[in-house]
Amino acid sequence: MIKRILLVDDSPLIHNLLRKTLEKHGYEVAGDAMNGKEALELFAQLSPDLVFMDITMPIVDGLEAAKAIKSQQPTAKIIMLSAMGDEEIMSQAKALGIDIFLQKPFDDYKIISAIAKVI
Amino acid sequence: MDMRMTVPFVEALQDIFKQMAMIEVQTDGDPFNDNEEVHSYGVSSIITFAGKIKGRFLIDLDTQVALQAAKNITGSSYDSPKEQMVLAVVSEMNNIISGNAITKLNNEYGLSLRLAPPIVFAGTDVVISIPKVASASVTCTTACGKLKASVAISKA
Amino acid sequence: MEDKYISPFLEALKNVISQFGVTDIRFGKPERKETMHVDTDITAVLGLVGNLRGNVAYSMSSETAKKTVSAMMYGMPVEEIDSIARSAIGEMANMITGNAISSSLSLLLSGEKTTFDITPPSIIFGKDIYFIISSIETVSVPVDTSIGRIEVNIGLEI
Repeated sequence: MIKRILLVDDSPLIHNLLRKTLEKHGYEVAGDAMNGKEALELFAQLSPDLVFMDITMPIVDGLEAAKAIKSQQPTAKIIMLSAMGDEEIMSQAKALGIDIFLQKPFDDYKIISAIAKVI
Repeated sequence: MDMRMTVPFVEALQDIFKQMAMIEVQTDGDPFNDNEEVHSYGVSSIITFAGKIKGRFLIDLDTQVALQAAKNITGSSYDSPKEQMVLAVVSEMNNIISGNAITKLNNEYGLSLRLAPPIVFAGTDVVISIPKVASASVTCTTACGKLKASVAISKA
Repeated sequence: MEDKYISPFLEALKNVISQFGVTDIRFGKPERKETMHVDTDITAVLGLVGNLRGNVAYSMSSETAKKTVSAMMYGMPVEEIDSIARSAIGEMANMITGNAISSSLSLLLSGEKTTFDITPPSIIFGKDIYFIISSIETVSVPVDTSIGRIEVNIGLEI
């Protein structure tokens, strides 16, 4: 079964870059959400195997969205992918049970090896 | 202004230009106290921040540097820096540069800084000024043109 | 961004500039855009951080900027936009944004959204500038006054 991944980021550029990396390595992009609110809707609709989640986003931020997803489905797999990663943000993410925290920028290796650790 | 504040920004700028855009950035020298006015090279992005201190980070690129970065990152060619995708690339690069730099400053000095969304713009004969706030700048050279990084810090 | 977040900025602008003696303040029709094109010499832009994130930009012609600064300085004639004038324009942007937040905007954001801060204003000069100040959309509202037009551009991430 091809693993299906939901991308959540407010930058269309990041969606393009992640999609290229994922498709090249045999993953399927299940959907593209531009903010945390869309992420919640698409997560419920698509039941992806994994979510890549940015943090600072409009309307609902990534930490809030991750919290909501984890409370609905505690086994949901989420990789945070953020430009910011200070101790305060990292500890909030850890408290939510985030599987992996990656700081941008990223290359194929960083993305693919993180995925291999969670699914 | 404390010149040490420029270090994480300039390091992040060099790392991220290299990693994302495959552009090597050489600094021309040490950071210097800059004028209140910066004459834009072509494409500029400003990110402001606030926490225990407040400030602004500016990257200012020769048009050719912006076009080359957009080309290397997206794989498509662009003619004008005013195209949406070119502006989006510069804006997202600055977002990542500032995010990385602020992360270091927060961890080292406990400043609890948070970033406003990036602003990006391109125009003709643009001058950028930040009134009453001291700024330090570094000019840099790449294979496709000049760029400038400028950090301004004010007490909150 | 819902319409209800726009009027606090317009009301704040009206409050602040009418204190300087500016009259005939009329709000135009809001326009939503992704990229904002500015053709009016001077833009003062500042950011909001915290639970309310975004940027707000105020654009005007040199003429209007000079008249604004003159009005702020009790009618002192202003010949050019020097560093004192720039700092006055930055201060005006601060006052309007601060006023918008402390008055009605914080009432709209009841509940947990209560911690935010304003970042230092930057002043950008030049014509024919293409700006992006928000990853979602920017709402632009022209405001006509006795000293000319001020365009308010609001990009809040809500």
